[in-house]
Amino acid sequence: MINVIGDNVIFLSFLFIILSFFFYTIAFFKRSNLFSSIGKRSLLSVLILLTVSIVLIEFQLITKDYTNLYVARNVSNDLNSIFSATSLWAGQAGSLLLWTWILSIYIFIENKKSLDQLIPISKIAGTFTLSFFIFLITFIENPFEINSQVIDNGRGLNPILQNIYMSIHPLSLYLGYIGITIPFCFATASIISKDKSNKWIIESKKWTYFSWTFLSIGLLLGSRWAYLELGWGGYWAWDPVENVALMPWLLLTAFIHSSYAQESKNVLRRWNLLLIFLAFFLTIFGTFITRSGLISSVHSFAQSSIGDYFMIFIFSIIIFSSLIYYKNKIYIESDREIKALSSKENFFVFNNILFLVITITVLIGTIFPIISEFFTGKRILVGPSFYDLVNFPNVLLLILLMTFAPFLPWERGNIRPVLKYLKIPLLLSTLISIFIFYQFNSIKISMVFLICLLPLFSIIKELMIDIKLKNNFFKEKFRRYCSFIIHFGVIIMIMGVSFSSNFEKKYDLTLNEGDEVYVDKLLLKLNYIYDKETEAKNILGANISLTDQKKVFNLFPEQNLYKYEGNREINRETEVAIRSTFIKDYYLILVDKNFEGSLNLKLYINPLVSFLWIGSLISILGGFLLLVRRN
Amino acid sequence: MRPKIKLRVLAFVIIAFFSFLIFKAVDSSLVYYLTVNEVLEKNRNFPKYKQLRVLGVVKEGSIINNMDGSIIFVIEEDGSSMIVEYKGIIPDIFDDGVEAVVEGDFRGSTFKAEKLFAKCPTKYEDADYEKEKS
Repeated sequence: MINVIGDNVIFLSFLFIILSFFFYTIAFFKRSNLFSSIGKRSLLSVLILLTVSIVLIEFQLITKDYTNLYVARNVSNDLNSIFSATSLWAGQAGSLLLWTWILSIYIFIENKKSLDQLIPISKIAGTFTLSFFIFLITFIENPFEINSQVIDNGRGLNPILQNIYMSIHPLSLYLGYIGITIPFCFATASIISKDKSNKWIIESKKWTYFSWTFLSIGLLLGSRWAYLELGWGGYWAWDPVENVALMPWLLLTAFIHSSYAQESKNVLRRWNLLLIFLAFFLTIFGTFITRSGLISSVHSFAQSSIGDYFMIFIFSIIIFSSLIYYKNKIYIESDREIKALSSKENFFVFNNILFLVITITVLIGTIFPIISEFFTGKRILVGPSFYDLVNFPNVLLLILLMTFAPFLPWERGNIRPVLKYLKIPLLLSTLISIFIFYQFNSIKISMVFLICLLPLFSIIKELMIDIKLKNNFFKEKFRRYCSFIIHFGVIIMIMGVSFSSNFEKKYDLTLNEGDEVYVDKLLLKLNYIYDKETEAKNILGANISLTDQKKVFNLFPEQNLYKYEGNREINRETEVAIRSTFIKDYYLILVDKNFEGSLNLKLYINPLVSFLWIGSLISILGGFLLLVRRN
Repeated sequence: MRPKIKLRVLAFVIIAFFSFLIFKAVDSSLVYYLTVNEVLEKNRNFPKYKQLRVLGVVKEGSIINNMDGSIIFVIEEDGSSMIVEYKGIIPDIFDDGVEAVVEGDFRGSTFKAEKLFAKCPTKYEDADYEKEKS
């Protein structure tokens, strides 16, 4: 019953979005307020209808109504209500419905703005994009498809995904991804209406901050989840699915910098339009790549027909964007150009080049199998070392830019006063990196520290000066301090990443009950092995005590075997035991039990991983502060 | 005009540097991606030092746990199969009948894997279901 209602509600929303698109287009050509208000009402109807369908499917998920095929394939009786509710984005049809709903909310929010040149066209672009997604859920991947069989238990959610990080992670990524649509619509509108002002940049600002923040949260949660689960190679593995989530984030970061230059000095206009088009394109492209099965990834998504539709959509965006670009080329050029090499805007240009290089590197790595198969007939891929090799010098250069750019003036710059200003920070960071060199005997790491500490100390110096002069920086320099907070976090994060990836230690152990073993000044004792049984799973676990310089703590690594398999192939789950300290993480995995009763264990000692999480959180905090700031 | 030219030269240098780096990195990190059949057909055509990544299905009941924590198993595709030896973290979802990807190279007839991936976590749809559909 609910399926039929839901199906019809979605179909109605499709009709209304077509209406809305149609009337907005007429309103634009006829310059009529009447048509525009019809368009607006239709859009409101779309929003209401989609909200109803979300409520319906959530009701079905929570009450476990297996007459709905989507519900039958994504939840089971043993799943609790929270994970049942978040199963909305565990499958394809549900994810698309969620995507569509969020997009309709965004477009509706923007819709409320007053009518001037920019808004009407952005509405056309917005409703067009929304039509595409509603088309998909109405005709291709309908979340209200009826289950032809009568069953009393569903297939259930993969145990590895039954994790709180994993249940928020996709939602956060979607919120960010979809947010890029709005600046894209403004950019389109700005080109078509031949508007030479910076209005579209100013209108887009909040949305880019918003998208950036939520994409960051999504990426962080994803890598945190990967770290806590097993067999994923730590927190980042350069898997195609991770890469396609990272690329829009990189371009958005570049865009935030260069749009600031346009807002302040009216330069880089054409460049900004290009960047936001690319970011939007990569968002759709990423969805296409993961859904079309074109690239094999360790995450195997469904290979379904929606890939073809995404392809058509991508091509229409490319053709449309290039068309309006060439038609209005003369209106796009900036009036002003960059005047000096060591000026803030020029450093932004280099920042953008480097971000673009990272994005292209990641893109090349991701689609390399396709390219190589096309040219040589063999599928060849590039390993993680490819990304590390290219991105390592790139990120260091970016941090160097990050050191100088905030202290350079606009337009006519001179690097000398900045160097003078940085004298004490430079001295301090050199001293610390020399110390680091003697401690760890690695030129690479001490170089990373030198380059990372310099901007850290320069930020601290400005803060100290402001406090001394009693500057009211909370009001006057709020944006600057937000950017400092983000930079600060990024640097901490990069220090954590480079340290943990260079000094990770790994040990394989086989222990019997009562065995004691010394591992690198660390005493490990297997106290006892235990078997537990709960309603859902059988647990094999071990109580192991670690002694590190008189500090003793117990770890409980476990292997879970889920009883109810449903239709899943996966029923084994490893619970990694982690003891996190500020300096290092002890990361213990129970691999398996040998025939005669001993356990195979793996111990990782990962230094400074905490920096990665702390740094990311600081950056995200900075993003939130930018968001709540009043204009 | 001068700063603009300087800017372009500098930008060109940076891009040239990274293009060079990308080419070098590609060269040093190439991994051939093949299925079991393809590997057995073309095995001898690959330069010795290049890594291989092979996709196959883990044969039912073939997984053997060694005392030292390493495992030996067979992956197969349409009847042809190869023996894989692996020591390292075993993904949760690794089991009989799962699609596995191994990365490493041949030592004699045994494939010595340095990495082992099992397909899944975000298994969005059921494989059987997709077959029914198409």
